[in-house]
Amino acid sequence: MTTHTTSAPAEHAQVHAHAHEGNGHHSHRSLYLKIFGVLMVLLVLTMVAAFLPLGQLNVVVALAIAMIKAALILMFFMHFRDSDHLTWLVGAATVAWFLILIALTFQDYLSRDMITSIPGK
Amino acid sequence: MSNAVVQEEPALLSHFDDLQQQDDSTKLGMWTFLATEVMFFGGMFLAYILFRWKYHAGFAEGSLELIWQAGFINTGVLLCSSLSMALAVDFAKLGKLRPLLINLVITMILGSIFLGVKAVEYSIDYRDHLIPGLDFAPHKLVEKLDAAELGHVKLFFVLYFAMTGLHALHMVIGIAAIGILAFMIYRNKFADGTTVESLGLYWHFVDLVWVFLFPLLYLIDLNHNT
Repeated sequence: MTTHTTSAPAEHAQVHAHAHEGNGHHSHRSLYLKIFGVLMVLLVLTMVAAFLPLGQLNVVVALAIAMIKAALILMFFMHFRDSDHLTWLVGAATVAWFLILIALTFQDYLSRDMITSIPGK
Repeated sequence: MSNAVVQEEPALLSHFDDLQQQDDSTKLGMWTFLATEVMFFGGMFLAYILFRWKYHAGFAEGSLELIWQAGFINTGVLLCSSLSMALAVDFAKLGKLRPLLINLVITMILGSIFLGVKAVEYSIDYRDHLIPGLDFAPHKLVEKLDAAELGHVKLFFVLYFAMTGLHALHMVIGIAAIGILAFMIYRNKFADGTTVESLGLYWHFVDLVWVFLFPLLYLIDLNHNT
Protein backbone atom coordinates (compact mmCIF):
# COMPACT_ATOMS: atom_id res chain seq x y z
CA MET A 1 0.00 0.00 0.00
CA THR A 2 1.33 3.41 -0.86
CA THR A 3 1.55 6.19 1.65
CA HIS A 4 -0.54 9.29 1.35
CA THR A 5 0.91 12.42 2.79
CA THR A 6 -1.99 14.63 1.86
CA SER A 7 -5.15 14.51 3.88
CA ALA A 8 -8.57 15.33 2.56
CA PRO A 9 -10.62 13.87 5.37
CA ALA A 10 -14.05 12.95 4.05
CA GLU A 11 -13.30 11.65 0.56
CA HIS A 12 -10.13 9.98 1.75
CA ALA A 13 -12.01 7.87 4.25
CA GLN A 14 -14.26 6.63 1.47
CA VAL A 15 -11.37 5.70 -0.79
CA HIS A 16 -9.67 3.78 1.97
CA ALA A 17 -12.80 2.04 3.10
CA HIS A 18 -12.76 0.40 -0.30
CA ALA A 19 -9.05 -0.23 -0.17
CA HIS A 20 -9.62 -2.27 2.97
CA GLU A 21 -12.03 -4.50 1.12
CA GLY A 22 -9.22 -5.47 -1.16
CA ASN A 23 -9.58 -3.27 -4.22
CA GLY A 24 -6.73 -0.90 -3.42
CA HIS A 25 -4.08 -3.46 -2.53
CA HIS A 26 -2.15 -5.48 -5.03
CA SER A 27 -0.29 -8.51 -3.81
CA HIS A 28 3.42 -8.50 -2.96
CA ARG A 29 3.56 -12.29 -2.85
CA SER A 30 6.21 -12.80 -5.53
CA LEU A 31 8.40 -10.10 -3.97
CA TYR A 32 8.15 -11.79 -0.54
CA LEU A 33 9.11 -15.14 -2.04
CA LYS A 34 12.17 -13.59 -3.71
CA ILE A 35 13.24 -11.88 -0.48
CA PHE A 36 12.74 -15.17 1.37
CA GLY A 37 14.97 -16.92 -1.19
CA VAL A 38 17.71 -14.33 -0.68
CA LEU A 39 17.39 -14.68 3.12
CA MET A 40 17.86 -18.46 2.85
CA VAL A 41 20.94 -18.02 0.65
CA LEU A 42 22.32 -15.54 3.21
CA LEU A 43 21.66 -18.05 6.01
CA VAL A 44 23.72 -20.70 4.21
CA LEU A 45 26.36 -18.05 3.51
CA THR A 46 26.49 -17.29 7.26
CA MET A 47 27.32 -20.92 7.98
CA VAL A 48 29.92 -21.15 5.21
CA ALA A 49 31.57 -17.92 6.42
CA ALA A 50 31.61 -19.20 10.01
CA PHE A 51 33.77 -22.15 8.97
CA LEU A 52 36.22 -20.08 6.91
CA PRO A 53 39.47 -19.39 8.76
CA LEU A 54 39.22 -15.61 8.75
CA GLY A 55 40.44 -15.00 12.29
CA GLN A 56 39.27 -11.63 13.59
CA LEU A 57 37.27 -11.04 10.43
CA ASN A 58 34.82 -13.89 11.15
CA VAL A 59 32.71 -11.75 13.44
CA VAL A 60 32.80 -8.83 10.99
CA VAL A 61 31.57 -11.01 8.12
CA ALA A 62 28.93 -12.67 10.33
CA LEU A 63 27.57 -9.30 11.48
CA ALA A 64 27.68 -7.87 7.96
CA ILE A 65 25.55 -10.74 6.68
CA ALA A 66 23.22 -10.41 9.68
CA MET A 67 22.78 -6.72 8.91
CA ILE A 68 21.92 -7.45 5.28
CA LYS A 69 19.36 -10.02 6.46
CA ALA A 70 17.97 -7.54 8.98
CA ALA A 71 17.75 -4.80 6.34
CA LEU A 72 15.83 -7.09 3.97
CA ILE A 73 13.34 -8.09 6.69
CA LEU A 74 12.99 -4.47 7.83
CA MET A 75 12.58 -2.92 4.39
CA PHE A 76 10.41 -5.55 2.68
CA PHE A 77 8.63 -7.74 5.26
CA MET A 78 8.09 -4.82 7.66
CA HIS A 79 7.42 -2.33 4.84
CA PHE A 80 9.78 0.19 6.37
CA ARG A 81 10.73 1.59 2.97
CA ASP A 82 7.06 2.46 2.36
CA SER A 83 6.63 4.05 5.77
CA ASP A 84 6.00 7.73 6.37
CA HIS A 85 8.57 10.19 7.68
CA LEU A 86 7.44 9.86 11.30
CA THR A 87 8.19 6.15 11.22
CA TRP A 88 11.63 6.86 9.75
CA LEU A 89 12.19 9.29 12.60
CA VAL A 90 11.32 6.57 15.14
CA GLY A 91 13.71 4.22 13.34
CA ALA A 92 16.52 6.76 13.34
CA ALA A 93 15.93 7.56 17.02
CA THR A 94 16.10 3.85 17.85
CA VAL A 95 19.50 3.51 16.20
CA ALA A 96 20.70 6.73 17.85
CA TRP A 97 19.64 5.61 21.34
CA PHE A 98 21.32 2.24 20.93
CA LEU A 99 24.54 3.90 19.74
CA ILE A 100 24.47 6.29 22.72
CA LEU A 101 24.11 3.26 25.01
CA ILE A 102 27.15 1.59 23.43
CA ALA A 103 29.26 4.74 23.09
CA LEU A 104 28.79 6.04 26.64
CA THR A 105 29.52 2.65 28.17
CA PHE A 106 32.64 2.12 26.09
CA GLN A 107 34.02 5.59 26.71
CA ASP A 108 34.14 4.46 30.35
CA TYR A 109 35.63 0.99 29.83
CA LEU A 110 38.10 2.09 27.14
CA SER A 111 39.43 4.98 29.22
CA ARG A 112 39.82 3.16 32.54
CA ASP A 113 43.46 2.24 31.96
CA MET A 114 44.35 5.68 30.62
CA ILE A 115 44.38 7.31 34.03
CA THR A 116 47.23 5.78 36.00
CA SER A 117 47.35 8.14 38.92
CA ILE A 118 44.41 10.05 40.28
CA PRO A 119 45.56 13.16 42.21
CA GLY A 120 44.39 13.22 45.81
CA LYS A 121 43.62 9.53 45.91
CA MET B 1 -21.04 -14.83 18.18
CA SER B 2 -24.76 -14.73 17.45
CA ASN B 3 -24.51 -11.23 16.06
CA ALA B 4 -25.97 -11.29 12.57
CA VAL B 5 -24.36 -8.06 11.51
CA VAL B 6 -21.06 -8.75 9.85
CA GLN B 7 -18.66 -5.89 10.27
CA GLU B 8 -17.20 -5.08 6.89
CA GLU B 9 -14.67 -2.39 7.53
CA PRO B 10 -12.82 -1.07 10.55
CA ALA B 11 -14.73 1.59 12.41
CA LEU B 12 -13.24 5.03 12.19
CA LEU B 13 -12.66 6.24 15.72
CA SER B 14 -13.82 9.75 16.49
CA HIS B 15 -10.39 11.18 17.26
CA PHE B 16 -9.04 10.44 13.77
CA ASP B 17 -9.73 12.37 10.58
CA ASP B 18 -9.76 9.34 8.34
CA LEU B 19 -8.86 5.67 8.18
CA GLN B 20 -5.47 6.38 6.67
CA GLN B 21 -4.52 8.55 9.63
CA GLN B 22 -5.94 5.94 12.01
CA ASP B 23 -3.93 3.15 10.37
CA ASP B 24 -0.74 5.23 10.28
CA SER B 25 -1.16 6.03 13.99
CA THR B 26 -1.60 2.37 14.85
CA LYS B 27 1.55 1.43 12.95
CA LEU B 28 3.52 4.34 14.39
CA GLY B 29 2.51 3.17 17.86
CA MET B 30 3.82 -0.30 17.03
CA TRP B 31 7.11 1.12 15.72
CA THR B 32 7.49 3.17 18.90
CA PHE B 33 6.91 0.03 20.95
CA LEU B 34 9.56 -1.76 18.87
CA ALA B 35 11.96 1.12 19.62
CA THR B 36 11.50 0.39 23.33
CA GLU B 37 12.04 -3.28 22.57
CA VAL B 38 15.37 -2.44 20.96
CA MET B 39 16.30 -0.72 24.23
CA PHE B 40 15.09 -3.79 26.15
CA PHE B 41 17.27 -6.18 24.15
CA GLY B 42 19.89 -3.45 23.70
CA GLY B 43 21.05 -3.63 27.30
CA MET B 44 21.79 -7.31 26.85
CA PHE B 45 23.54 -6.76 23.53
CA LEU B 46 25.62 -4.08 25.23
CA ALA B 47 26.61 -6.50 28.01
CA TYR B 48 27.40 -9.11 25.37
CA ILE B 49 29.61 -6.77 23.30
CA LEU B 50 31.43 -5.52 26.40
CA PHE B 51 32.19 -8.92 27.91
CA ARG B 52 32.98 -10.59 24.63
CA TRP B 53 35.51 -7.82 24.06
CA LYS B 54 37.02 -8.35 27.53
CA TYR B 55 36.82 -12.15 27.74
CA HIS B 56 36.95 -13.30 24.15
CA ALA B 57 38.55 -16.69 24.83
CA GLY B 58 35.94 -17.62 27.43
CA PHE B 59 33.12 -16.66 25.08
CA ALA B 60 34.66 -18.74 22.28
CA GLU B 61 34.87 -21.76 24.61
CA GLY B 62 31.29 -21.28 25.72
CA SER B 63 30.03 -20.90 22.18
CA LEU B 64 31.62 -24.23 21.19
CA GLU B 65 29.47 -25.96 23.83
CA LEU B 66 26.32 -24.94 21.93
CA ILE B 67 24.82 -26.99 19.10
CA TRP B 68 25.19 -24.73 16.07
CA GLN B 69 23.07 -27.09 13.96
CA ALA B 70 20.10 -26.37 16.23
CA GLY B 71 20.68 -22.63 15.89
CA PHE B 72 20.98 -22.99 12.12
CA ILE B 73 17.71 -24.95 11.84
CA ASN B 74 15.95 -22.50 14.13
CA THR B 75 17.11 -19.52 12.07
CA GLY B 76 15.68 -21.22 8.98
CA VAL B 77 12.42 -21.98 10.80
CA LEU B 78 12.09 -18.36 11.93
CA LEU B 79 12.79 -17.00 8.46
CA CYS B 80 10.07 -19.34 7.11
CA SER B 81 7.69 -18.04 9.77
CA SER B 82 8.50 -14.48 8.73
CA LEU B 83 7.55 -15.39 5.17
CA SER B 84 4.22 -16.90 6.26
CA MET B 85 3.57 -13.82 8.42
CA ALA B 86 4.35 -11.49 5.50
CA LEU B 87 1.97 -13.53 3.33
CA ALA B 88 -0.68 -13.36 6.06
CA VAL B 89 -0.45 -9.56 6.07
CA ASP B 90 -0.68 -9.58 2.28
CA PHE B 91 -3.82 -11.76 2.31
CA ALA B 92 -5.34 -9.62 5.07
CA LYS B 93 -5.02 -6.54 2.89
CA LEU B 94 -6.52 -8.42 -0.03
CA GLY B 95 -9.41 -9.46 2.21
CA LYS B 96 -8.83 -13.18 1.59
CA LEU B 97 -9.72 -14.73 4.92
CA ARG B 98 -9.00 -18.41 4.27
CA PRO B 99 -5.39 -18.06 3.06
CA LEU B 100 -4.88 -15.42 5.77
CA LEU B 101 -5.94 -17.86 8.51
CA ILE B 102 -3.88 -20.68 6.99
CA ASN B 103 -0.77 -18.49 7.00
CA LEU B 104 -1.37 -17.36 10.57
CA VAL B 105 -1.65 -20.99 11.66
CA ILE B 106 1.51 -21.90 9.71
CA THR B 107 3.31 -19.03 11.48
CA MET B 108 2.15 -20.37 14.85
CA ILE B 109 3.27 -23.91 14.00
CA LEU B 110 6.71 -22.69 12.85
CA GLY B 111 7.03 -20.59 16.00
CA SER B 112 6.17 -23.65 18.08
CA ILE B 113 8.77 -25.74 16.22
CA PHE B 114 11.33 -23.06 17.07
CA LEU B 115 10.39 -23.26 20.76
CA GLY B 116 10.48 -27.06 20.62
CA VAL B 117 14.03 -27.07 19.26
CA LYS B 118 14.96 -24.49 21.90
CA ALA B 119 13.48 -26.69 24.65
CA VAL B 120 15.51 -29.67 23.46
CA GLU B 121 18.63 -27.48 23.45
CA TYR B 122 17.95 -26.25 26.97
CA SER B 123 17.45 -29.81 28.22
CA ILE B 124 20.79 -30.84 26.68
CA ASP B 125 22.41 -27.79 28.31
CA TYR B 126 20.90 -28.93 31.61
CA ARG B 127 22.26 -32.46 31.14
CA ASP B 128 25.72 -31.06 30.35
CA HIS B 129 25.75 -28.85 33.47
CA LEU B 130 25.84 -25.62 31.47
CA ILE B 131 23.26 -23.65 33.44
CA PRO B 132 24.84 -20.98 35.68
CA GLY B 133 23.36 -20.85 39.17
CA LEU B 134 22.12 -24.41 38.97
CA ASP B 135 25.20 -26.60 38.65
CA PHE B 136 27.62 -24.96 36.26
CA ALA B 137 30.35 -27.58 35.70
CA PRO B 138 30.92 -28.59 32.07
CA HIS B 139 33.26 -31.62 32.31
CA LYS B 140 35.61 -30.80 29.44
CA LEU B 141 36.10 -27.19 30.48
CA VAL B 142 36.49 -27.83 34.21
CA GLU B 143 39.61 -29.92 33.45
CA LYS B 144 41.00 -27.50 30.88
CA LEU B 145 40.43 -24.05 32.38
CA ASP B 146 41.30 -22.32 35.63
CA ALA B 147 38.66 -20.77 37.88
CA ALA B 148 38.87 -17.28 36.33
CA GLU B 149 38.57 -18.61 32.76
CA LEU B 150 35.68 -20.81 33.79
CA GLY B 151 34.03 -17.69 35.20
CA HIS B 152 34.25 -16.07 31.75
CA VAL B 153 32.57 -19.09 30.17
CA LYS B 154 29.92 -18.90 32.87
CA LEU B 155 29.33 -15.25 31.99
CA PHE B 156 28.79 -16.29 28.37
CA PHE B 157 26.14 -18.76 29.50
CA VAL B 158 24.43 -16.19 31.71
CA LEU B 159 24.07 -13.98 28.63
CA TYR B 160 23.14 -16.95 26.42
CA PHE B 161 20.25 -17.94 28.68
CA ALA B 162 19.15 -14.37 29.34
CA MET B 163 19.12 -13.41 25.66
CA THR B 164 17.62 -16.59 24.24
CA GLY B 165 15.22 -16.77 27.19
CA LEU B 166 13.95 -13.24 26.64
CA HIS B 167 13.70 -13.99 22.93
CA ALA B 168 11.77 -17.21 23.62
CA LEU B 169 9.40 -15.27 25.89
CA HIS B 170 8.72 -12.92 23.00
CA MET B 171 8.02 -15.95 20.79
CA VAL B 172 5.52 -17.33 23.30
CA ILE B 173 3.73 -13.97 23.49
CA GLY B 174 3.79 -13.69 19.69
CA ILE B 175 2.32 -17.16 19.16
CA ALA B 176 -0.40 -16.47 21.75
CA ALA B 177 -1.23 -13.10 20.15
CA ILE B 178 -1.44 -14.64 16.67
CA GLY B 179 -3.69 -17.36 18.08
CA ILE B 180 -6.06 -14.82 19.60
CA LEU B 181 -6.08 -12.73 16.41
CA ALA B 182 -6.68 -15.79 14.22
CA PHE B 183 -9.57 -16.87 16.46
CA MET B 184 -11.13 -13.39 16.27
CA ILE B 185 -10.78 -13.32 12.50
CA TYR B 186 -12.31 -16.81 12.25
CA ARG B 187 -15.21 -15.89 14.51
CA ASN B 188 -15.99 -12.44 13.09
CA LYS B 189 -15.27 -13.36 9.48
CA PHE B 190 -13.41 -10.10 9.27
CA ALA B 191 -9.77 -9.07 9.22
CA ASP B 192 -8.46 -5.58 9.81
CA GLY B 193 -5.35 -5.34 7.68
CA THR B 194 -3.69 -2.84 10.01
CA THR B 195 -4.11 -5.06 13.06
CA VAL B 196 -2.62 -8.03 11.23
CA GLU B 197 0.21 -5.83 9.95
CA SER B 198 0.99 -4.49 13.43
CA LEU B 199 1.26 -8.01 14.81
CA GLY B 200 3.37 -8.84 11.75
CA LEU B 201 5.76 -6.01 12.68
CA TYR B 202 6.17 -7.55 16.14
CA TRP B 203 6.77 -11.02 14.70
CA HIS B 204 9.36 -9.80 12.19
CA PHE B 205 11.10 -7.86 14.94
CA VAL B 206 11.46 -11.00 17.06
CA ASP B 207 12.87 -12.71 13.97
CA LEU B 208 15.28 -9.78 13.52
CA VAL B 209 16.62 -10.19 17.04
CA TRP B 210 17.32 -13.87 16.37
CA VAL B 211 19.14 -13.02 13.13
CA PHE B 212 21.74 -11.28 15.34
CA LEU B 213 21.62 -13.75 18.24
CA PHE B 214 22.41 -16.73 16.01
CA PRO B 215 25.90 -15.68 14.79
CA LEU B 216 26.75 -13.90 18.07
CA LEU B 217 26.00 -16.91 20.28
CA TYR B 218 26.52 -20.01 18.14
CA LEU B 219 29.18 -19.07 15.62
CA ILE B 220 31.90 -17.33 17.61
CA ASP B 221 34.77 -19.71 16.95
CA LEU B 222 33.86 -22.73 14.85
CA ASN B 223 37.39 -22.78 13.38
CA HIS B 224 39.06 -22.93 16.77
CA ASN B 225 41.10 -19.81 16.09
CA THR B 226 41.65 -19.04 19.74
